[in-house]
Amino acid sequence: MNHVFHSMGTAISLAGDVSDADARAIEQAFAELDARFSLYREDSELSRLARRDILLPAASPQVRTAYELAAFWRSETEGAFTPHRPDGVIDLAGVVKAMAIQVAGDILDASGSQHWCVNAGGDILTRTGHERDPWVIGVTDPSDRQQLLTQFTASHAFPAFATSGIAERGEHIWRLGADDTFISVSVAGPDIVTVDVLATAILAGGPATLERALQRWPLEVIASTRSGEYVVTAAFLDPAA
Amino acid sequence: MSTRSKAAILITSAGVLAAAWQIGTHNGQLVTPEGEESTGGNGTGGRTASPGSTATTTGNASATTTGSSAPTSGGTTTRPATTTAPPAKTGVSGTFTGSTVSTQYGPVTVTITLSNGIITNVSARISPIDSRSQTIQQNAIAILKSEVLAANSANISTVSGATFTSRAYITSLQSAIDTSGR
Repeated sequence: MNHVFHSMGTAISLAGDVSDADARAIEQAFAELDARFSLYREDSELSRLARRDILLPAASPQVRTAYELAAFWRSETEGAFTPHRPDGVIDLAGVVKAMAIQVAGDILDASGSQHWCVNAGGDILTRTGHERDPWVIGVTDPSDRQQLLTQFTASHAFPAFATSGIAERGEHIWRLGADDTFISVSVAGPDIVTVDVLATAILAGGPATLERALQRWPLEVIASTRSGEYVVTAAFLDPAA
Repeated sequence: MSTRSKAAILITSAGVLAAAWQIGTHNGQLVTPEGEESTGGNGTGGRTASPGSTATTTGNASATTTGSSAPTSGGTTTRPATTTAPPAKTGVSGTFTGSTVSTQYGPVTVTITLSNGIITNVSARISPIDSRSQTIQQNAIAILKSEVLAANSANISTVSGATFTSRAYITSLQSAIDTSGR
């Protein structure tokens, strides 16, 4: 059995060489981040920010760092990804889960584990050990999550994988303009924050954002369209090979 | 799990592109996507786009089927079209832009200008390909219409989809994998 715990409204699975101590440390890290950043908790720092009980310059270094990260990605994606909700509230959910996954990976690396897989609600970071079986990621059908649409084999170059969909909980997807071409976007790439942000950005920004993303970052992408087509990069042309 | 066909149908407008390159003549010059007009040939050349070409458009077509008429007595005359294309016939005029499609050279948008049914100008805008063209070609986008995606559920070790709630997790594929310890 894999280690499983719940945080940030979803389930986190830890597979591979994960000691009980590391699993507890990872669960603790998620809990701390959730307590600070969750807009679903009245007493979180982000909720206090939303109520203007405190202002951003007076927020904790952790919040300010996360905000800078989100602002950086807002710039990189030309606004397709943004921490600013239409009502003016700062929502950092788009980066916080990825940050937590990265922390989990750091904990495992620090312990010397060379083969692991952290899956937080479908956002995945992997490390593949020498001569170990590679992590094969199944991608669910956006219209039927019990069915697999395709698969992707994680690697050293593509250890991270994230999916954004329109029926998502807690990920506020604000459409950029009127683009609703894609209903689900999965991105494989070099790190979890990048793929998590870009999956969200491409979902919001559509094909133009996808083109720009492919020009700027090494990625593999599968995007499901509203009309039943799939826009894919080469890795998905024969993924089960 | 449903089986999926292996046959991939890639949507490109390769047919349109090929037709465009072959028909795109003006005054015997071959209109190329680099924006340079090369002389020689009668426009039957195929694609001349090459990796590394930058986005550009060609100049305006100057062929017209109606020109200033020399004043003569009795009626007007029109200057004949200055192209080597078949004689002007009554046909469609206008500028038509195709949708952006992926080619081996990168995303391409083709715009064709028709004048009375004759293609008088062809321009192609290719998104800039930098020195990482190799990488970009590998990442070229294919648009799959038929069900070509495949997954071998026996090999799957973890599952990705839109974020599920803790409640939805219970009935998820991921949950099944976690309990089986695969």
